[in-house]
Amino acid sequence: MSSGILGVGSSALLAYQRALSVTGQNIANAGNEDYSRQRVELEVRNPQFAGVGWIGQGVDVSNISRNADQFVQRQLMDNTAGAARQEVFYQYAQRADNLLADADAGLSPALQSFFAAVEDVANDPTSTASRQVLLSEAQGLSDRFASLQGRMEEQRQVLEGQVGAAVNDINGLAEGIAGLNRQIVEGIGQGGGKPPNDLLDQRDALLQRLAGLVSVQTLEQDDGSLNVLVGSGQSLVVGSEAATLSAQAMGDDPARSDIAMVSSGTAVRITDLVTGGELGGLLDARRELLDPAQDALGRTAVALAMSFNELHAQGVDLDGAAGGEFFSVPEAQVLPARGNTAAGGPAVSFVDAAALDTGEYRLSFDGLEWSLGRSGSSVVLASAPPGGTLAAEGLEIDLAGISGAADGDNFLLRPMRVAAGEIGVALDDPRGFAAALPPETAGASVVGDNRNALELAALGQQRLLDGGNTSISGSYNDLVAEVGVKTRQAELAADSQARLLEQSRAQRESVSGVNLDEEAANLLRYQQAYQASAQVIAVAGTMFDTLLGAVRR
Amino acid sequence: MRISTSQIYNAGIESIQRQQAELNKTQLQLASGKRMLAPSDDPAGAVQALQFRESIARLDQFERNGALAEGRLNHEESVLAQAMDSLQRVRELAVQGNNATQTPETRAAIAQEVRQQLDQLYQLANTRDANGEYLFGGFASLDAPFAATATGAVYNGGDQAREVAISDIRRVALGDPGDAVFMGMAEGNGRFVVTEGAANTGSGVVQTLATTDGAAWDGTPRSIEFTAADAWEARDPDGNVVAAGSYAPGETIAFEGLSVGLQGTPAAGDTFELRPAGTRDMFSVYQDLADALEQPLTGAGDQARQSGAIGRVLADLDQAVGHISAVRSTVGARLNAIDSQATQRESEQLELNRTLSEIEDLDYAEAISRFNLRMVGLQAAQQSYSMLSRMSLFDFIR
Repeated sequence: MSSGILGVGSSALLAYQRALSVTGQNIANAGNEDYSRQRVELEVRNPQFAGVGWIGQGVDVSNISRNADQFVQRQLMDNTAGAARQEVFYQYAQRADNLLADADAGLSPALQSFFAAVEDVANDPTSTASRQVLLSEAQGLSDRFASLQGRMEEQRQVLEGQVGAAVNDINGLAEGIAGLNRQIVEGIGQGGGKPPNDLLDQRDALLQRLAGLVSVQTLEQDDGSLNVLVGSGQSLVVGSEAATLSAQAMGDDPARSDIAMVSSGTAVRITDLVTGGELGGLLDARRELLDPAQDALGRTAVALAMSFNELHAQGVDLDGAAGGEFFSVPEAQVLPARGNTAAGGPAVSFVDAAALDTGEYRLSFDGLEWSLGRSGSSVVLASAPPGGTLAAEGLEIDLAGISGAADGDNFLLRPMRVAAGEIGVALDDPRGFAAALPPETAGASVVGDNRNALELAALGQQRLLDGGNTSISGSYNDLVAEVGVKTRQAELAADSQARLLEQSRAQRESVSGVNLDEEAANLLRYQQAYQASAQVIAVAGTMFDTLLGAVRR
Repeated sequence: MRISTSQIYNAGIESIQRQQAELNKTQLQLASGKRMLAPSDDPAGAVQALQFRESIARLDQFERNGALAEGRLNHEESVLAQAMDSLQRVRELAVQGNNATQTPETRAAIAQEVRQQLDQLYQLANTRDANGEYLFGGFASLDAPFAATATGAVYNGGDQAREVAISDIRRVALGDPGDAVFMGMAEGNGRFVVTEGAANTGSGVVQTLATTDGAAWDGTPRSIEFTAADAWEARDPDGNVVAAGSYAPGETIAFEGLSVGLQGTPAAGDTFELRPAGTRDMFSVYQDLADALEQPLTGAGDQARQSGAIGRVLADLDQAVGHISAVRSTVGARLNAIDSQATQRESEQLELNRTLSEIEDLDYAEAISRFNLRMVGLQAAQQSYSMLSRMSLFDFIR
């Protein structure tokens, strides 16, 4: 009988020792964000029948459970991916936003000073000084274009670097998750089906970090392992095996990295399938911010250079000679496709400012003729046989420079992408500025004639772009507005995503977080139960002594 | 809802950080005085601000252009005023020289002064502005527009004047080409001129010219010959007599709608040549006067020719005065246009600046009260955080 009491007491001692150590573990991890609080589940031992009824046999620890909710965890991952995407996108938008509207670094002040300098030459066409100022202002303007382009190009390089780093991190995390999968499966086996709580916490932590880099889906397997899918269902982790992502240029632009899923030596391009997380944000920022911003800036530069040159060529300079090239007009970026058999490339020139558009074009050969279309669209804008000339959207494309083309050869054209960095001042002699118009009688002095300079000064106000709807400064303002609106939207989205993330973190904390007051109470509770159990053993001891004393007598 | 300990800390820190971010933004607004720190704060407003700034810069440019044009035109105006003075002086000299009491010596002295006036006129016509450009050179503004040659003044300038923009739509000419100012004046009465024959011996002098019927004369020269001292006939270029009549001193000879008032007594055989009026320049008028005054006088014919020449010079000087006055009035009109543009521009500038300020400037009263509010919020967050973080059940377990 007393052995029954002793058994009950010692079982309780043991159980509350466990409970205290779990409470200690909880307290120890109170500051660990990845930790899920654990709980001791107590179970009554099977009772024994003792004639008069069933007598309890004490208590056992049936399980040490982990307070984690799969649904909450899932939501936290989604929100982490969303918030990370918005955060990165917002960062890039903000940088572009600050860059474009900066009163010192933006284009507007440089454009204004340039046209003011043209006007000053119109006021005083014989003055070499005012002509010199004009050339300096023109240089300043082209420097400004180049610096804006350069700063955006810098952003692009930083972005490409970040893409590479994010892909490396993803690979590291995928490896980690695969390793933990193995340990967890083993642990479940060893523990007779009891989950290794701390390993599960570690895996969840890695998944959260992975979600911060890219959106993933998870599939729980019966053996306790977790499969991780990325993109539109490409397996990143299957059981204890992890696939590798790589950031490498797979398109025609060697400087533009794609995301590839590498499995058994072959790389599959999944760039367009990747969403969410830092990586998704980076790819979105590249496509939705940097590409259009550089295109728009380039178009402004091209339109300015070609229209100014056109008008300048109508005039004559101080010595009566016809106006030469004022700005050097940028060249379109032409990228031959990988595997082209053709040698050489098309020569792209800008012919109509009003029709110029941004974006990418694809020039492709079907064996008979070349056709031009928007990148990613099947609509043919213009076509011509080899050696001919294509004209569309303000561009004129001379095919004479391409030789040995085979069916399927193609070129990627980005007329505006790098143009802002290439505009320059071609004129170096201040006397060469064509402020005058050709005199009615050949050879007459034109030094005091400012008619062409007046026309050139008015060019700043003329609506040259978008079919005659947008002025040069207007096209820049449009860019500022567009980036401003995108930044504003990104800010709002980033705010709301951050709020959502906060909420799901709070939800996770609510379920899995440690509350020290609660643990303090538990500590007291278990301590008292432990002390009481010890007392039960002491009583059992006393009972035994009493019995012994009675028998000895 | 169950709250975890780290949540209490996180939420506290987060609310402090949010308050700090807001406070920082308000502080930046206060420091810069701008409502918009980046275009994304108000994209539409940011673009409007860019456009307004451009418009303001444009107006500033027009202001500079206007000031430049005003300076040039004022300069031109003062040169034209001097030319006017010169014309008046030469007119006085002509009247003085025409007086019968003058001796050859005094006439020579007057002629001398006329020649000085001629030199001065060349100087006026070749005036340069502050940039060294010739005011009346047209587009050829670096070459002296007027040169004196043996056959008179030659214009080397351009025939168009430079313009500057004083508004988006209004341009004004900065000057006038010299040939339109100092040349191209109508001669005589604007219709026809009558000169005394070079071989005249009588004292007949042309006094007045008038047209009574503009359609009767075919515009070809006529030669009026006195067949006797009291009889004349007018011939056309082919020598046909088109009219004839009698003459008494002081009477008017009239034919084909033209009337020529003579004075003095022409001798038989004296002729008066009538030709259609052309255009001439101011320089040659001065030259003619000086030449006429220096003419040696040996008989009644010479005297009559001199007197007739001076009379024609006087008529031409009157034409010149009218001509210069007309140019001056266009200069005045341009100056007026610049003035009225300036008035209009000033109000426009004021309006644009006001709107720009509305778009991008900070409402300080609102911002400062917001700043105070945020500060109170931050203090509350900090205080509540520190109070909350001191609470722990462990403190009560002994």
